[in-house]
Amino acid sequence: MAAGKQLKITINEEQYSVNNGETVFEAVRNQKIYVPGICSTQPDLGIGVIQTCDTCFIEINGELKRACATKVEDGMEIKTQSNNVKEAQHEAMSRILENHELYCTVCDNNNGNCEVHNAAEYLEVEHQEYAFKAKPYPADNSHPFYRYEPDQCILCGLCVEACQNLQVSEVLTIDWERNAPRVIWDNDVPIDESSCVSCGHCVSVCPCNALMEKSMLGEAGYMTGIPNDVLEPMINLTKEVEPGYREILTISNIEATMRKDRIERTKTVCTYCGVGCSFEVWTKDREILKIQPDPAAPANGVSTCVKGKFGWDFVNSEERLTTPLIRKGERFVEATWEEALSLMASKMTDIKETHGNDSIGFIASSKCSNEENYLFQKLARSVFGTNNIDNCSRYCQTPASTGLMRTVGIGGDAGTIEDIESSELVLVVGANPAESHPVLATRIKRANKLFNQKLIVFDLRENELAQRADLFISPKPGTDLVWLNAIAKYIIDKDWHDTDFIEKRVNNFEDFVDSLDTYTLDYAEDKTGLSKELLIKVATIIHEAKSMCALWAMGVTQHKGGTDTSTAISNLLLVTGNYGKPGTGGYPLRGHNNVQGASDFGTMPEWLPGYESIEDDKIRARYEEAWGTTLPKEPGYNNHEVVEAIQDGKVKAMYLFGEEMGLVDSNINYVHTAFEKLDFFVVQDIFFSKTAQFADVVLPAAPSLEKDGTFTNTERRIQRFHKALEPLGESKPDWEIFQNFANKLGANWNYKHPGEIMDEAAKLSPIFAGVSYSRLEGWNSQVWPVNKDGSDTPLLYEKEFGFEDGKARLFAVEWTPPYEPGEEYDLHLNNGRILEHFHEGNMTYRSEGISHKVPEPWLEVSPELASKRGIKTGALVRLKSPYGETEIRVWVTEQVKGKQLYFPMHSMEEKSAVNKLTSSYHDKDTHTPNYKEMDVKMEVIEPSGPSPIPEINHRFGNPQPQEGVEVERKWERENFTPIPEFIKRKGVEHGESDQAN
Amino acid sequence: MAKAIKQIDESILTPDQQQASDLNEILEKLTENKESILILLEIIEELHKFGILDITKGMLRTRHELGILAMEELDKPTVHDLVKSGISTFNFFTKVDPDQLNTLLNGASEGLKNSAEQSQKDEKLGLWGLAKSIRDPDVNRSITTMIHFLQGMGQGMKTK
Repeated sequence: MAAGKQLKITINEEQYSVNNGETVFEAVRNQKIYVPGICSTQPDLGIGVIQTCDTCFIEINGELKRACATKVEDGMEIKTQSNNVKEAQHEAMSRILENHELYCTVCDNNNGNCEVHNAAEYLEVEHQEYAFKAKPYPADNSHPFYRYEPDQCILCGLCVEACQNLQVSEVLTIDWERNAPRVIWDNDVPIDESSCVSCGHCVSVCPCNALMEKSMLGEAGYMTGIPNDVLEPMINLTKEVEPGYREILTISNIEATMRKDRIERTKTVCTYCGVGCSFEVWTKDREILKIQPDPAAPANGVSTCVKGKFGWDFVNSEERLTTPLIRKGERFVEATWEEALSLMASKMTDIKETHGNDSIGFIASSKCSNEENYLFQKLARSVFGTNNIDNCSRYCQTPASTGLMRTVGIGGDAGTIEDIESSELVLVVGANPAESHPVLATRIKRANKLFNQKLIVFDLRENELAQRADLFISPKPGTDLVWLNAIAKYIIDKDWHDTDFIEKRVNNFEDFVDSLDTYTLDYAEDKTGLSKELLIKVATIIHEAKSMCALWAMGVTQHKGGTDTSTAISNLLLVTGNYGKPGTGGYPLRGHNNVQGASDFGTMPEWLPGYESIEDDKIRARYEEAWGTTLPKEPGYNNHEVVEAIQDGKVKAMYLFGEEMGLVDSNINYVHTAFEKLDFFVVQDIFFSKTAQFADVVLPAAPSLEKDGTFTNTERRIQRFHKALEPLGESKPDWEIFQNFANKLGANWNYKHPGEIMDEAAKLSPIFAGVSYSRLEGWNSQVWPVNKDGSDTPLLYEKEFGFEDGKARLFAVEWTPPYEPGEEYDLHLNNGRILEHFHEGNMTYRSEGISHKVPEPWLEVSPELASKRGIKTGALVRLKSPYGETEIRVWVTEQVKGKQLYFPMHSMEEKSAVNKLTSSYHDKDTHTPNYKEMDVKMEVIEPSGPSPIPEINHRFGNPQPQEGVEVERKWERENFTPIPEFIKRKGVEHGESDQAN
Repeated sequence: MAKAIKQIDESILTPDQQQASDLNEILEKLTENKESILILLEIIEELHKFGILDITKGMLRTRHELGILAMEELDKPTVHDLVKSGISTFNFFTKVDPDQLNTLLNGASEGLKNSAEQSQKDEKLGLWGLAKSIRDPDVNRSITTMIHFLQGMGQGMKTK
């Protein structure tokens, strides 16, 4: 079908031209003609997929049909207002109201966006055709974050569709066969005991109040907080005396309008990973009522994960830092901003004058905004005259960026999530997006389940995507580069490479081919432990796919050869021509919300904003002129080097914001002794972190909900977030703190709003030339590079690669065997994230609901190893590496195999912090720590004990995969009469009704 | 050379200090809004004299119990009917053309006046007198209107 072709149709006797391929529902709505369609209100779920509400029946060529499930055809005649249509829609609505009581004014969902309310209002429903029937089930309040009220459930199945086919956790179904159908979780267990991952999709898409955030209940409306013993008779009274629904709906509309005065809706961007979900946060004073995603959000649509949807309690935590603190002897004492900033100014000026500019280190935050990172590097470079500045992408993603810069010239994702979604083949290497980038993973799960996308996962651990993959492959730890090169070689040997693409667009092919000599299938089999047949199978699938996206993360980068392996992935993409067209490219999955942006905006020792070299005299001169200061030329220390430099006595003072370096850097014992050696240490955070314990001055910062700014997600997408709350206590947005401090030192900065900082960055850095707050309003976003006219670049390399001659470069790389501490350390220590928590957890553990699901980290041990050591789930073990030891409780799971352990990083306590065990070895090219290369030995302290994961965790649930809502089963119910048949039987005459207008 | 420390001395305000700072804040707001505050005080004084403040206080303090009581009283068939009738009456008036109603009520008022005057005469009207009075144009107008009214009412009752 040729999409884009125009068809002529008649709607209500007027001619329209509409797009081929659209459903009638879409076509009619696009012409701004309203047709109700409760179960079509979520475009992300697909129009016409669900077909449960029947409110969109209209006349198509004289027959009553569902607008949502009928495709437009040339010459179609459509009537949306005939008597027949009205009767049909009225019947559909009456059936819905049999399942749903309209007590809108006292309903927390009466916020102007209730689909059931709006449809009833449009259809001018006056009376209850069929009496409302309560379902014989109590409300399910078991889950910490949301509740299901069967009595209000209209059985539209939007929640089921969202769970089965968008989130693809496959927990919810409708049990159509029972007397009174309802939504059930797993095989009908309380929600809290099910496999529900608490992503919130079902609640966000529910068109009424059947599924609601608990934080909304009794809070949203003026009268919804009324106790039940008063409320119920009130509802009854309203129902009894109602002359018709119109009056009820009018009053509820007034009430909904009044709610606008007390409920603020502010667009924000999530800070829990690099996917960059945007949504509205609803607040009432400082209370967060709910997170409401929107189909228009560019990265996520209506999708969220548990952290983004429910994990914001930390903002109001009593443990927030609310005033500056100054170390006085063995204790911290509260201080004013004036005292704190003056002390910083005098101490840091002293140190700078005594020991030189480079005796001060600056650590920026990939959790803070682009503007804040820009300002921080400006502070370091122009006020203190040092390039000793870096951010935490050094811990994760710098190798990926470097690998891409070597091969394709730009250190970012090649395309957007849309490309990943539409690709024929997704290759995931050393990444666990289902837990670390949950919303991005949903797009892969969906494409794999519904659209035949092929999925290959290379990982040590059988994570969720691995379980779903067409092929899950576990090579020996640290050998990814070997199989990547071997497959590239095999493809070239077979003559399967894209010769045309390589000839026109790629340099260094001959040298690259030569460099692959060693990487025969035999060599690869020996080093990786993967059979030749398997490698050939992978090569064949790659060869057969018309498009491929490669996704990778810390499993690749946190190795001694992390940059090289990232390079090898990009090489393989180049060899197979998988760059520069839709559905292709390399995608390093950024871990934190602004890993991309922090680096983009210059908090790196060798780069000014926009990856322009600090060593380039011309570029530096541009900044010197704009800032009116001279800038140092030599690149400074990165995060890793700065710790060494402190140990060596070269760096004496440090200013760090928004980074828990004391827990998340590798080999933290070494980091802690470095902190102790500092003469002066400033830590700026929202909580009193482990790192802050070493500080001389602690500054209270404001989190994203309390300030304005932009973040850049993994797609290179710049998105605006807005202030929803005032900063708590004396805390301040980071950019304000930097400005106040700089002005203490005479910098005379005068930014009134972060938008002015962005204007300055856009003026100076060519790749952000057209970025401006006015272009980022609402759900708008810009994917860099952004031209002066505001046009952006969602897909890179369509015409040229990021080098002067526009051609990509194959870059030969050799395998670096991983670090091995010695034979006595007999178990491999893998580490990373889990779904529910973020980073060390100082935000997510403050959520009561999240801690209810996951109160503490655990150690994953294979059943094989557990039985050998005689331990069970709940056992307490001590792990020892050459660098330190930890104690942690065990979860025995088949997710890990043999002698491999998995240790989540989310701990706020040193005792169970995995980085007590990791070393200071690092990627040879970028100094990213080799977190993933450690072996340990395990001592059993208690062979059994309480499980670290509660039984109500989703990991112990029992998912029920099915196609979707399975509406056919509804249609097969004995008491179901199709609406057209019902109308026919009722004997309504054809023709227009007698109307006044 | 700074070891990690956790001790934070929170400079907790003494109750007196806290109170003084709160009082300052309140006074500031009061002086900012002097005019309106003074008017408000007068209103409060009047309300108090009238006893309304006491009643309100009592109602607010017992709001939950009162709510239950009120709902018990209100959620009864008779009240349902009363409210329904009220709404119906209201709806009735919204549908009536005010000009027509005006004519009709004018007529009714003149009729009342006339009937009062005539009834004082205590005159009896025989069958013949009745038949004769139909020919009176004023009486005839009234009766014709009445007949049309009955006709319309009948139609209205049929459709419902």
